[in-house]
Amino acid sequence: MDLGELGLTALRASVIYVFLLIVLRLLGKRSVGHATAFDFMVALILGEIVDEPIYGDVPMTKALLAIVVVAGWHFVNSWLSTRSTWFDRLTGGMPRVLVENGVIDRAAMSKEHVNDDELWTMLRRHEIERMEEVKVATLEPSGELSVIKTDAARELRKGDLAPLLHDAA
Amino acid sequence: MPLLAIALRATVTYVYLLVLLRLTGKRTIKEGTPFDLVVALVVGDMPDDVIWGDVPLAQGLVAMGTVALLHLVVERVTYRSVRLDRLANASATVIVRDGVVDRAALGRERMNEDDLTSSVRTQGLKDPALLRAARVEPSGEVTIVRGEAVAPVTGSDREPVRALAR
Repeated sequence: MDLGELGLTALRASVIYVFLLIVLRLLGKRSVGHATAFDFMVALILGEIVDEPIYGDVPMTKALLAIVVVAGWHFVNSWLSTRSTWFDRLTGGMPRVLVENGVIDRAAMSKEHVNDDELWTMLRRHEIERMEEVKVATLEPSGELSVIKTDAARELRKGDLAPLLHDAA
Repeated sequence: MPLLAIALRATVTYVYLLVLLRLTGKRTIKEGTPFDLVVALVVGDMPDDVIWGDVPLAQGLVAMGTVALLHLVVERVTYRSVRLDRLANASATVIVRDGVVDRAALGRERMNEDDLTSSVRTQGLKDPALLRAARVEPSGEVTIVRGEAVAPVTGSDREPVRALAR
């Protein structure tokens, strides 16, 4: 391994780094950053594509093309998802209610392959230990469980103060 | 035309992975188990060899499909049986109950009290003694339930609040 080759490796690594930086900025923060499983896969693919060109096993033109194609399809995918609800649901899934008024919807759980242990883990992220505290729990396309608590279980808010003071007076 | 072939293989792989992920029903990696992450890494390492043509397209698609399908089968089976799920994915471990730290449970999770205090601090509380419960979830994160003294005022506390206002 001579110094020239080491210098070339550093050069190729730098070109790839700058190119990836530009491509990801163009893709926007929600497309690789908002952490759906597929966004994560795309980040992995891009990360795996670049090692061969950095080591010189694959010519730079091919590498840049491969990055542009993968990132390009991901761009088209996100763009179509924002334009068409149908496409968004096809590729990204739709929100599904798993718990309503403290009752677990078994059919919905089965469709989403969520079992009771997993549901409880997601509920505990919202500091819930009793199912009666749940008014509506929805599995969102991002994979997060959103939880609306019942009136008794939810925190009091500033908007609750005026009625309480009115009652007290 | 090698450049066209690369573009074509990259496209096929992209669409194929999108379909595979939709079939497995996985929405996120972040909230999955550590094994989900490993499976994602394994599958994510495969497309580049296909794109460069080091591996025939058909072989790459079969390899990615097999791993994803196996994972899907394991998910299906663990969904049906809580016992198998606990075998494959571990269950939540209670490490604090009513303000008392369970040192044995903490040890089983290879955590010390500093780790616990630190994760309690990241959730805005000073001391595990303030908790009603804390658990290590299968995903590795620590979830907490605040004790009475630090719990938020909720809708069920309207009466004492009214009394206070009077």
